[in-house]
Amino acid sequence: MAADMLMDDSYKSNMLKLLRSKNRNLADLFKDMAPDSSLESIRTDSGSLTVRRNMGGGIYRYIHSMVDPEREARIWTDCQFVQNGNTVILGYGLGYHVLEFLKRYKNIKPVYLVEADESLFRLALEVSDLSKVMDIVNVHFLIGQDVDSVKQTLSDSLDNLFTYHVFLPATSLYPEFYSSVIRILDDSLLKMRLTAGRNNDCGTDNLLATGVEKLIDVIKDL
Amino acid sequence: MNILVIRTHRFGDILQLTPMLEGLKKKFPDGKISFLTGSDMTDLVSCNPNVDEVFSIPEKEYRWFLKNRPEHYSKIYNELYDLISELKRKDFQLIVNRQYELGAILAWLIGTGEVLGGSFSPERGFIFTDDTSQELFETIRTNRNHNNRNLVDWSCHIAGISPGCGKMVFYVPEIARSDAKHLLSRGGIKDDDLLVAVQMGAARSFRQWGPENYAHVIKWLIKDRNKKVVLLGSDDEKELAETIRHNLGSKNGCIIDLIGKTDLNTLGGVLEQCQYLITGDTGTMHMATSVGTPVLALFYGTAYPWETGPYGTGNLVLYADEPCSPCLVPEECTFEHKCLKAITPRHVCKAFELAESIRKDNLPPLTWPENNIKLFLTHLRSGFDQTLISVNDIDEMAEGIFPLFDKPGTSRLESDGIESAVSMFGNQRDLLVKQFYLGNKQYFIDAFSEFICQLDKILRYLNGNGYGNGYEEILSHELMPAIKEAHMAFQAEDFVTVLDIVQYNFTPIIERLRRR
Repeated sequence: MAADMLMDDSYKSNMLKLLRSKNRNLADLFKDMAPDSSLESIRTDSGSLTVRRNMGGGIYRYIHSMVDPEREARIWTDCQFVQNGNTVILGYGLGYHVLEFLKRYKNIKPVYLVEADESLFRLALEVSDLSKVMDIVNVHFLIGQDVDSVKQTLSDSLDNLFTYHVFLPATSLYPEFYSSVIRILDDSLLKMRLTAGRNNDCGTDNLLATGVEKLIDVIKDL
Repeated sequence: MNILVIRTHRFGDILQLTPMLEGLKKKFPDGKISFLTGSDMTDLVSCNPNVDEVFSIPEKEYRWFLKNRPEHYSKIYNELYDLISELKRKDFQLIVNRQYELGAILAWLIGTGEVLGGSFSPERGFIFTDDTSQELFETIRTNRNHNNRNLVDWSCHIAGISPGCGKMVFYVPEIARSDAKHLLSRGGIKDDDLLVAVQMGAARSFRQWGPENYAHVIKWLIKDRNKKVVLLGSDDEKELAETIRHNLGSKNGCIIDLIGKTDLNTLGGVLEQCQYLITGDTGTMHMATSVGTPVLALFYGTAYPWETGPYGTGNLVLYADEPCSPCLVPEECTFEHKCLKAITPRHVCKAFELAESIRKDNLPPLTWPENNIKLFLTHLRSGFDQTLISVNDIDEMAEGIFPLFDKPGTSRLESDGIESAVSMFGNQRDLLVKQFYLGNKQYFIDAFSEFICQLDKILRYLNGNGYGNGYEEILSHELMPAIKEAHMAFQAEDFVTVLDIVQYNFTPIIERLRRR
């Protein structure tokens, strides 16, 4: 990503243009949005950019590795358990991990990218190449939405089995928002796994879906 | 052969599977053995060379959340679902389940060619999957007092392994050994002190002999046998130590109270330093035999020494052989637990004298004059089930069973230096990194605390074992500032910086320390 980094207005305009083709409202939102002075992009040891948020009182929180964000993205992707279903990624940051994930899983079904921090996404439009993400038809951005809107969008769309993936550095900036979203996803996943299991559809394992309930009963009574 | 062994709780029971693990490894030298256990039990098997991979379930945490925070149900469900999916992908050809119902459901869900021990069927519930497991169950239920086989050997038979093919082992990491020495020296113990460990508590009240009885024995050990006594036990047994202190009066200084102060690794390290352990039928008893420390075990009617007695050669077992024992429902005892009172401090002191003379002279003539209380010696031979030999029969059997013992300490595992410390550090680092990437904040926080704890131990170990010489520069100029920086980042919840420090600062420093 480092080689593609451009930090001028024309670059941002191109990104906005791409975004507009995907999500007009979002593009409008970012068109005139002022930069957030508490966010600062910094060159890492590998030459790519990372970003940090000034939390006040001399405290900073980094969103990507200060050494090698691409390596971090590769390890993050290695650690994810991916099923052939819909995908939700919580925490976008500058998107290194998302790009790596999409590169690795080319035939993935719809991917929902949730980022609570609008300013961070705005910065991502300026400093990172989102074209490879936006080129994919099935990628949807849920940026700066409240919990209810996210719930609405996801409940309308996640009608098949799905997995969700957490990018901790970004989600830990907004713990309440993301825990609520995770709770919603966990509840939906449970419901879907059980329903699919009982109907033995979606290719899931009927035994596993209902058997885990039994397992929990035993653990509870031990 | 890809094998999974399941046992999630009770640390003594997990240690009792170690001979079976050794046997499985011998039987399938190219096989891969995985162990699924509780998250708080992983230390028991993670350094065991017969175990290739450890999986864990935070069973206790789950139980707490299910009872107190039911809104976490979906999270727990999904975590278990994902864990089982991961285990399914491992494609095990054999599962040895030693955890009855919980393990049975897990084995059923993981699915495999063969399950030994027990599995589950939605129609029939728990089912035994082999004749030996069925036989064990029936024996304990209906014919317990005719069972001559230790559970360790039962496990071997269930897994199709020859009994006596391996010893119970716990690999005390060097760092825990150092930690144990530190704990003991802080309690005033010197290198030439003769230590006897005493575990007074037991998980269930009907297995507790009582602090007054132990106080008699401890007083005798200190006054007449010139020993120092280490008290062991869990956090909720602290008041037992108070009673002992009160009873001992001026001899108070000869006891070291480590109740609630040891984790599993350090417990192993402390027991290694002791000449003997005196205990009831406890997990600590199995830990002692696993680190090569002989045991004098007190078995009342509630436990049966043939079944769960200390495993290996040269341990002594006092057994209150009441007509009603072995007891199947001790909670409903109508004899006021008279078996507990049958063993007196005098019996224990006398048995201890014999234990010492056995160790000193290897096999002196022994007599045990008590009729109502039996004294047995444990004996293990390769290819055979463990036997309990009545001390009074040893003379005539001596030819057949000699030599009985290793010299104290020779069965212990050789120290492996700093490698185990670095290896533990490496495991903890990997876990921390994994939790970061999986995005579970709470697990990451827990893993970081454990990681720092591990680092502290490494530093203490390096300093306390002469590694400090020549290492000061690295320690003070590189490692210490890195730890400080990581702490600060962690406090600020700057997890990326924490991980950068862990991956790019700590790891190379530790590697350099090891190379030196």
